[in-house]
Amino acid sequence: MVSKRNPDELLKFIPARDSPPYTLVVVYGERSIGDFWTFPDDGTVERVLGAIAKVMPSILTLDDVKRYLESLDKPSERVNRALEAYQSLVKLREVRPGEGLPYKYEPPHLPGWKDMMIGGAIPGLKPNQRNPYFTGGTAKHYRPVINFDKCIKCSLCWEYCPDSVFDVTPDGYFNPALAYCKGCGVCAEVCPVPDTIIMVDEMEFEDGYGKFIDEYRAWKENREAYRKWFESLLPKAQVISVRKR
Amino acid sequence: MEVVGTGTDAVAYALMLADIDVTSAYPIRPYGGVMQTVARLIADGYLKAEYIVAAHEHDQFEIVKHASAVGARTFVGSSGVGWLLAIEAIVAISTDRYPVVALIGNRALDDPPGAYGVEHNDALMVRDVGWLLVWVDTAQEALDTTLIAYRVAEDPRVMLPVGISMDGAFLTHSEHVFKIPPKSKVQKFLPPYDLGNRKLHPSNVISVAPQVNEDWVTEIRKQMDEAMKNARKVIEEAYRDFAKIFGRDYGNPFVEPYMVEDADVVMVGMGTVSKPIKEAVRRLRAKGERVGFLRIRWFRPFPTDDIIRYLSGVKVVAVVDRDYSFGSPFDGGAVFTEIRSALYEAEHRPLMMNFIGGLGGREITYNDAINMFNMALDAARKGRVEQRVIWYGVRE
Ligand code: SF4
Ligand code: SF4
Repeated sequence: MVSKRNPDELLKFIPARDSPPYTLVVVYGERSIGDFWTFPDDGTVERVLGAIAKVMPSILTLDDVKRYLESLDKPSERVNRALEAYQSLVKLREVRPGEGLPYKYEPPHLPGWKDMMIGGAIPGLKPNQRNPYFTGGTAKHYRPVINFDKCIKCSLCWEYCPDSVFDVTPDGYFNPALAYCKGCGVCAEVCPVPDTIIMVDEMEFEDGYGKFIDEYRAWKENREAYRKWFESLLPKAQVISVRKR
Repeated sequence: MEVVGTGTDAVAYALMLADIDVTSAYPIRPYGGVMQTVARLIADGYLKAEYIVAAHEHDQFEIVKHASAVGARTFVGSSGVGWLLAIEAIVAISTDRYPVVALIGNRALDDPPGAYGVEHNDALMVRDVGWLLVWVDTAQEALDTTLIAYRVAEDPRVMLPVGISMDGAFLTHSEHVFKIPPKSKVQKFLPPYDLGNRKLHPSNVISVAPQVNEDWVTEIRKQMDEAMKNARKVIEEAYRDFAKIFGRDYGNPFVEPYMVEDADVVMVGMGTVSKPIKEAVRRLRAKGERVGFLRIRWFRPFPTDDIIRYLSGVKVVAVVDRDYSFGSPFDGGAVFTEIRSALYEAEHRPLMMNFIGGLGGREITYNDAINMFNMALDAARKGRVEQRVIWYGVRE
């Protein structure tokens, strides 16, 4: 894992497993979704290779890594990244079965050919309805936090969210069902009112998978407390294009 | 009403009777005649339909796919490499399960302008991807089959596209006398197109053609498999109703047997090759030779039961392929290979010969057919086939 946090902190966000113990290796650095097609070249691969050479030289030695990276384009940049990881803080932590975030993975139920609409067509969802299997797991990096005090109920977040995360409240607000959110930031991008949907690092929250806070209810219950909480998060929010506009 | 017209005219009249909503056109020989006649029918006020001229065949087939998705009865068509230019849209039409009806004016596959003449490989290219395929041999059959095609394609048990194959030049451009039935009868035969809960409409919110990967594709194919199997029954029902309503009975919907009872040698073919072969059968029968002909109409779904019924008791089966399947199990034609496979489970397996003939539009005359029969009769007498695949008339 590439992170600036230490293993104990990270374990609060890593789902527990029943499987045999494993070693959590943390490579110091800005976390990323490197090697995902969106950021193919942010150095994650090189850093991970450097870390492997450090902790498991029996699999891969530093020389192997260097030789490989030198065969690619921009070799010195790549080797430097691998060396960074190799030389800097590589932290190890044994993780026992059951340690971590209590979370039970439920494989989605896939319908049989007789139950599917023909041609793979998919019935549309009604408002507040969503596919129970399309949860975000523990995968999202950022979560949307809504400032209901500023919301003008334009509905754009609801309409644009690719995962139909928002519930329509009786008084016309849009409340994210965070278990389904993938953290893509589209809602924050389309919201026309600055600082009304902010994207905040998921690791700022410890409400955990499966018991995410209900933002709308929290706001309804105590607007003053919610406002303070929102303001405390504001400086930590991701800068997204709409806020620059 | 009886009229004189070409094979493609006959299809155009059927489209008028079926009251199609959208057609997209892009010119290519020999299918092109149908788009001209449809345009005239629209201009003269006999048909009210959207006539969309596409930029190329890929657009052409995409247009009808989308029109079909919103509930329009559609018609499209092409020939040879034009048909293949549309292949992405063609497979999308069947995997999305839209009952588009297409005319394939069969044409050889060559670097255009290449050959204009008939060959069946263009239509056969889609034999494995969920299109129903039918071959016709007269203008009347073309008209009737077009009506039957809509009925079968749009049946909720099928919902697959149909390709109607018509031999380029020999049928697309030859004049025939044919009957145009009254629209009232067509309305009795062909219910309105109803996509049910799959109709794309603001009042019916659905997603179609989603990204599907390994989680879904097997199930989607299985649905298509079931639909293709259902089509056999639906085709039978359609021909039965057709005979009742229009008074024209095609007998067996899938194959046309011609003097096959008691035959020692049966020739098999698709399309207009039926004409010279039937003439040869008559002449040889007059001399006392026990020969017959079996014309395959529906190639997909393949009429396995009928092939076994009509061919398993015969001494020699000689298949005339106006196509080829290079590198296939016996280096023969596609029809030959399919029939051979169908007969594998038959109680009595006949000897089999394959004539590759009539490629690129080369004519097969009744003298050619008599020659082929004589070779097959010779094999029947000897009880063995000396040359399995014969490139008939190839210049040495
Ligand atoms: S971040 Fe993306 S997935 Fe989450 S609520 Fe916003 S638009 Fe939907
Ligand atoms: S996009 Fe912003 S302003 Fe519009 S409804 Fe959503 S939160 Fe409110």
